[in-house]
Amino acid sequence: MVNDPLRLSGSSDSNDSSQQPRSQWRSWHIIVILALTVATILIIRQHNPASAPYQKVEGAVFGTFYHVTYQSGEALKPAIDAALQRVDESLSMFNKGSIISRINRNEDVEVDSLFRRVFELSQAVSATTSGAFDITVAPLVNAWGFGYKNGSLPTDAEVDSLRQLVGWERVSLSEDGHIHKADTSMVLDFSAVAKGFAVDLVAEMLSQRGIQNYMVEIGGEVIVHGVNPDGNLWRVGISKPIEDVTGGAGSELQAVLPLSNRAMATSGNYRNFYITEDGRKLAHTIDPKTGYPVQHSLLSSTVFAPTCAEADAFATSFMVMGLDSAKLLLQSRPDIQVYFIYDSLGTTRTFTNMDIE
Amino acid sequence: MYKVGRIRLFVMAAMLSLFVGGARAQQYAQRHLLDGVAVGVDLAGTTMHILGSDWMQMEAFARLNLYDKYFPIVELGYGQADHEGSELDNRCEIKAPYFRIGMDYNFIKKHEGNRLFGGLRYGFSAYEYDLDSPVPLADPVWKTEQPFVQHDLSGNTHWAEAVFGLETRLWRFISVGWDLRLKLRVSQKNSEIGKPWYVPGMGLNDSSLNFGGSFKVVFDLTRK
Repeated sequence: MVNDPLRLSGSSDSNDSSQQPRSQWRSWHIIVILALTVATILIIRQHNPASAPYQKVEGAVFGTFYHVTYQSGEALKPAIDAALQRVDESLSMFNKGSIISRINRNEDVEVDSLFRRVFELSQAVSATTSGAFDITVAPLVNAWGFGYKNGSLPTDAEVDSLRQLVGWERVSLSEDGHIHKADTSMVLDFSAVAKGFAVDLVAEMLSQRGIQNYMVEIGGEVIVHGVNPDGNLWRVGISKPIEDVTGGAGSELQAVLPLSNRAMATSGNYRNFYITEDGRKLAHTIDPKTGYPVQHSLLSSTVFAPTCAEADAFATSFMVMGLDSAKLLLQSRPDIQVYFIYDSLGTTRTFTNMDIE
Repeated sequence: MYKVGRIRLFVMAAMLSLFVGGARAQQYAQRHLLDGVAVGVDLAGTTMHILGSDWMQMEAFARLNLYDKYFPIVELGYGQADHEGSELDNRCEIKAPYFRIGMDYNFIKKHEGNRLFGGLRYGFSAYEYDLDSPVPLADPVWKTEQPFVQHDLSGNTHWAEAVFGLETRLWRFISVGWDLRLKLRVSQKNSEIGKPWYVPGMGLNDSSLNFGGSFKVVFDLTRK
């Protein structure tokens, strides 16, 4: 019987010496083919992120939380944390050993590439906004903040004195990587741009690894690239300009927008506004040029830009400039979109130059 | 819990004093203008600290005995606190002396070593204190943060106390006494930055009305 394996085996007795090596060769052949197939699948999967799963990584940084969602087979939390650590060591005001802390202590220190990028971007935004953005404003902001907290606002003489320590044009970065301050008591503070820059740095790391689809968010500053796990545009929320007692999570949203290949940052006067007798809301923000709070109807400024650091810096700038001046500037910056929330005679209104359906 | 504990202590003390006083029914002779002097210490402030309170007081007093009826008294003490608040995220540290001056009246006519007091005090403390916060002040627009650390803030408090207590002789010159005190803040000056959590001698600074008490060991020299 042909279908009897024992009989078939028995019928081949005369060919045993030649059949056995051939059978072994076939077995090895199958194993090698299988191994190559598996390896090929793995290699294709590795080099074709579109087929890889989305991963979520989160952690704490800069006194807030970060969330990163990316499509890749690689576990990248160590790389993300390393990128954030680089930002901390260069730009953190609370890291006593950071480059900016050492510069503020007037130590002779050469800046790194991160510091240079943020400094040059900050100075460029300062120039564009005619000084509405200023990385030397911290002494004034701190004095007024402390005053509001304690009900004892700084006097005119104190403001005049502090203004001697403020001015973006009075600091410069030399070619050899050293900061020069007009007054050694001046301090630099990148708080209004550092988080956005950290978002950019993590995004750059992901892009360099060939990852096409990702979202990086640190404390509300976001950059998105490609598509979300559903294959659609990423959707980002804009918080209402009310005090967020939950610290971010669960805050009420004013709008949810589809987004891709863009960064978003928001600056809001969630606490520093008061309601006038006729019901209007006025926000106060420290103006580096005058040294005093400036009052605007603009309650929240959300900016969309190619990089999150730019979005971060312009969001702050627009809060200082106010609605009308911000609109004027936008005419010369088509690369920047905004979503403003402002008060108009007691009614909350919005302005945007985005194409929103 | 603290106030309830004090009241229990007071009731136990009253029972103890009746027992001790009844066992020693010695009649004193004619009273004099200066019938005696006494000094003593209050152990309640340190006891409360040992039991877990964030504040501590060490207090001593000197007292005259006029006709075994009127007892002018000066109380001197040193109070300190180190408290982390749960609401304001503030940490308050304060150390300062205080004093009280006043008079007690002995309601018991029989001069047999037990006294039932009612009295008034005026209290004052001038102090310096620190207020820190683990939560930095943050600007929502500029996103700057500054630590909230305020040291050497100064203030003072005046207050009045109504005292009701008893005292009983334990052995020869040694007496023990308990009292309850109703404290009314009369005036207070503090830094605009914030008030201290505790005022030495006055107690917790969360209300203009406060209750307190003391447990005293007295060295009492009284004419027989």
